[in-house]
Amino acid sequence: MTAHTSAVASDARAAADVKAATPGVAAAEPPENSQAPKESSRVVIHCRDVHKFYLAGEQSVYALQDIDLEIREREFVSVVGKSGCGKSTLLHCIAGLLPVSHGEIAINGERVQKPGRRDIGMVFQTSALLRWRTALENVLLPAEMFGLSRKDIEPRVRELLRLVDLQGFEKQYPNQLSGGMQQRVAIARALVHDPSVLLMDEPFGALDAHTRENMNLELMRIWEATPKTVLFVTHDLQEATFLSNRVVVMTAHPGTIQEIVEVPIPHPRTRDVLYTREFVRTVKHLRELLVSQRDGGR
Amino acid sequence: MREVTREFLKAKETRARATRLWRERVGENLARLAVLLAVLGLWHVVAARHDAALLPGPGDTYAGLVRGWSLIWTGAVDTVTEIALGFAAGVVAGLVLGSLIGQSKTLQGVLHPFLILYQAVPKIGLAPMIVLLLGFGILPKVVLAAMSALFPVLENTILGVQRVDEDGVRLFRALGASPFQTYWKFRLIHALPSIMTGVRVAVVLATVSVVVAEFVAGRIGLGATMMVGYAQLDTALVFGALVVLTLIGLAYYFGVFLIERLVLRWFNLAPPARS
Amino acid sequence: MAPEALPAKTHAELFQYFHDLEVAAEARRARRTRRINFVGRVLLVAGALGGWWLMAAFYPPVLVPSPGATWRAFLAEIDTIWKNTPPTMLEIALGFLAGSALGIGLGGLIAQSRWAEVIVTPYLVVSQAVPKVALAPILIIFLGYGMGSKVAMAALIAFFPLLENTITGLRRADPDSLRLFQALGASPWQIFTKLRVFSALPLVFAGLRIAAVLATLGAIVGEFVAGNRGLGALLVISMGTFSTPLLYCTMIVLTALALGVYVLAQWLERKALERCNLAGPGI
Repeated sequence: MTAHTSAVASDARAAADVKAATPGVAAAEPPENSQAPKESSRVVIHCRDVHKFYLAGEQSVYALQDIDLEIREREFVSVVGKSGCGKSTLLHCIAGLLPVSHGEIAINGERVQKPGRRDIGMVFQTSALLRWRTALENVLLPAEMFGLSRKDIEPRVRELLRLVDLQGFEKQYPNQLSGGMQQRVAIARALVHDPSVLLMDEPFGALDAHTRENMNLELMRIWEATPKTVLFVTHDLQEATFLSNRVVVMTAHPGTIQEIVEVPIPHPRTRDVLYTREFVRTVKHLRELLVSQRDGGR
Repeated sequence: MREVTREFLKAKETRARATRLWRERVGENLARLAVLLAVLGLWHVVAARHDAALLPGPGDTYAGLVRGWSLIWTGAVDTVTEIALGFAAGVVAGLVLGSLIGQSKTLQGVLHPFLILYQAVPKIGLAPMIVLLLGFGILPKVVLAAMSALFPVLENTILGVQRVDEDGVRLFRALGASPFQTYWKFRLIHALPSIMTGVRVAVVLATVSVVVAEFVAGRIGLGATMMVGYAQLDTALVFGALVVLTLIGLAYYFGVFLIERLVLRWFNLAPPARS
Repeated sequence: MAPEALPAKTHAELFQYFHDLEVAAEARRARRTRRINFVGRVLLVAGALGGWWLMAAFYPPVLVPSPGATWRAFLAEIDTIWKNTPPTMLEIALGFLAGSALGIGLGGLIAQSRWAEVIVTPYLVVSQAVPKVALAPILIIFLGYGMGSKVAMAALIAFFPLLENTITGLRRADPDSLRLFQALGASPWQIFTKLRVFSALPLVFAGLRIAAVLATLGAIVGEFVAGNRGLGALLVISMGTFSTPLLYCTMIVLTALALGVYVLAQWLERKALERCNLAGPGI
């Protein structure tokens, strides 16, 4: 009982929907720089029969059950679900920060056994910038860890800071930057060692709604400039729909994949997308899925 | 036009507020000074009614200081040296041991009851034994001061090194950092505010330990000078030595306080100024 | 862990399977920790005793008596030690009571007036840096060799942290609670007795715990300087007469006494906080 088959099924459904509902769009070819991956592109993140169980004091937590997930090159996939549904746990397991109780996770063909892989970049909800380093020095951190020379990397760091629109802020300390700016530094830091995979754990969760919207647009712009495979955890359905190709809906206690929903909107995306029928319909579908989950109280 | 008026009013209000605050501060400090002078005056008046051998007044104390200056000066130099050496040794040991223990859950588990024991035992009670073992020179005082200064730094280092935010640790792990790298580049620096607090406590404890050790051992240091005056009933000398000792203690404390400020500012860890 | 088949199918079975796995792993870890802790601690204690014994073998007995000699001295001199313990305990107790009462009382008074608090605060900070034990000789000059001077020393040292904690604690009332009381038309005295006192309690109890330990210190230092009666005096006397075995066993007894005071103070603080339902964060 894999979620993959249901994804394929909803693939077909979505394709049929799009063709039927919006003839104009169906007739046009996807734009040249569209980020929609083809079915034949390789699998970058592969979770096979993953279970994660742990004891937290007196409680037993069945965080992940029966997780089968394939994420392809250059996909932007979001994971949504109610709080405590294990979406962060899934991300941490993929990063190698947590061991799985059963099953196997592979990234770029290699099994994930411990953290510290150079093909992964991570962004956290709390930005985790070091207070005593400037923005530039913070972005340099992965280079130091992976043994790259500062001289070689520094131009790339400046370029990345320019990419995230923080040119001129290199010498600022984190406490001098706004929340949104701190997260942009964190994103630049996650990109400095040129990973093929980006894991993002509710990176905009701590920001106010307005900043979050701007950051979503920023992230789209950055992603289109440096296309990576992205796994993005969020509780915000609109954010997930706006950013991703596919949205994985998870249940809580135990954490399983309820359904993987295709987002039938081509990239690149602008703010106008928020008001299209496809967008609203997708968000509605996601919401219905969440509501239909039995309210598993604790 | 409205913009100009608004800015003008804002500047005026800021200036008025600054003046109010300044006046308040001056008033407070004048009151504190007045209290200090009143206490000094009271001391003088009460002392005038007593025999100078029992209760010397401010004037007698000064005279005693001048009289015994050579004794007090050598004593002061010895005491200052003892505090400095003992404090430095204790802080370094506390930092190193605290880092090792803080990084190792095993060590924490094994050593836990011993650490509590070390905290609970007054190191001062060990002074006679240490003086007996190490003689009457500088060494026993330095050792006692180091033993006293060790614990606050040790405890605060352990706490500070452990008390880091989870995402920070995850970040370093996700970057493949070894435990030492995580410690050196993250935990240690993050722990600095806590460590510096411990260092401040340590300098006070070191001072106290040195004084007590000098009481017990005699021979060198201002504590010993006080005991000399005490034995000869030269109360003015005792008071004079006490005044100098107090100044030394204050100097060390505020010296460390300044170092703390500098260190925290260097690492941009200073807490935001309270309003 | 290769994705082989799991020995369970339904959710309930899977839950049970993993649960048992984790519980077993947890139990193994706990057993291992307990074993390491036990062995480590035993090794340390044995090492310390062994080190002592070794040093006693290398150094002359007048510098380092062997554990055996110390024990024999304890038995021989138990009367002397027994005679000197009550004075010390009494000094600690009286000094603690006097210092605490004065600290809390004065703190309560100062907290009533904004001006008094503002004036006193910098002096309190400064007093932290001053080694108050240095006053011991002066106290003995004023108050003589009797118990009074040592009680005064203990009280003096115990006084300051309590003064500071009382003032800080009384100022610490939650602003919303303050507004509540004001909205109910409470008089300053009512606010004090029904609100401020309670929000001050955690700090006051902590101050009392610190004061107990400091009173012990003060009593010991006073006895060092006066050198006539009490365990501290016995330490100095035996040091002066090079009766080292007596020195060592007195030191052990004194350390046990100080440890007892520490443990008692910690326990009392916890009990008092629990009784007032103030333990833990939030208040």
